Amino acid sequence: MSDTNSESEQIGFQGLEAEPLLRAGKIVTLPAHAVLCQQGQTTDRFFVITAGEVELAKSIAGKARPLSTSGPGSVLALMAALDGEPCAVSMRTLGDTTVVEITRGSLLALLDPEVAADSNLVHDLALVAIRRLRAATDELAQTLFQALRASPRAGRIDVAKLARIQAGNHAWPCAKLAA
Amino acid sequence: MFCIDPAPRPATVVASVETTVLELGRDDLLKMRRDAPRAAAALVNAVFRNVLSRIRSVDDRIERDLCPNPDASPSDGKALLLPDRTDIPDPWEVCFARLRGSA
Repeated sequence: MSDTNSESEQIGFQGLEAEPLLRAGKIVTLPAHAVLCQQGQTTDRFFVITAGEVELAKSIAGKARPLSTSGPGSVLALMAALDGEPCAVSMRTLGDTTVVEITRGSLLALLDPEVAADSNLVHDLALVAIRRLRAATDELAQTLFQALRASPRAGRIDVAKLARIQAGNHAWPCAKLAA
Repeated sequence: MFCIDPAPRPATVVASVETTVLELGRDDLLKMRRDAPRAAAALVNAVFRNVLSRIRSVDDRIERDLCPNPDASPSDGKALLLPDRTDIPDPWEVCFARLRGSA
């Protein structure tokens, strides 16, 4: 067990129980500009970055806009993989990147109470999701209130700010989750 | 959600009629994880799925209400114009109340 924890620390899973994910997923090394998930399309798998960087971007007014980058420990596209709805942003690697790729089927198996009872994974995932929900609603409220109060351009909302909230919903920085 | 991640409550919940509830605190959940881990896992899994659907609703609101046609709506490609009102538009007000109240 201690070996697994040590390995988890090295590859950036701090705060999220890594062993079940490592066991259920497949380690994939990708070159620069590899697409993990395309805006508007569904996916049946999600990713945990173990090395490298992934850029999140969105097409707005016909132009692709970079929104944020995610590094080791980040969980990408989990919501889309689980609920089967389209991803609101696109994700592509910026350089050589290693991820753990986990399919929806594998995740559902891990979430089964018979399996989940033996680990902290479900609890950890719920914790990350709750914090993301709180952050997203706060960011959204602040963005709209600022737009309404802004002068002389009151009522104008920066579209990229809204898109960045969406990006945050699809990339969870689990490395910051130390309890 | 408070049982999993304690934080200040963003809303007040008041029973509007005589109501019977099952109260479950953080300590109860910790005890449940020790004594009935499968039931606890099922409960937390349900919370996780519920929270995911709420995050998805934030995404959908942004996509549907503010970016109904992201390839055409912003005239300068940088900003969207809210309706000419001094308060939050009703759909957003309702959305916040629902999302924050449950968060």
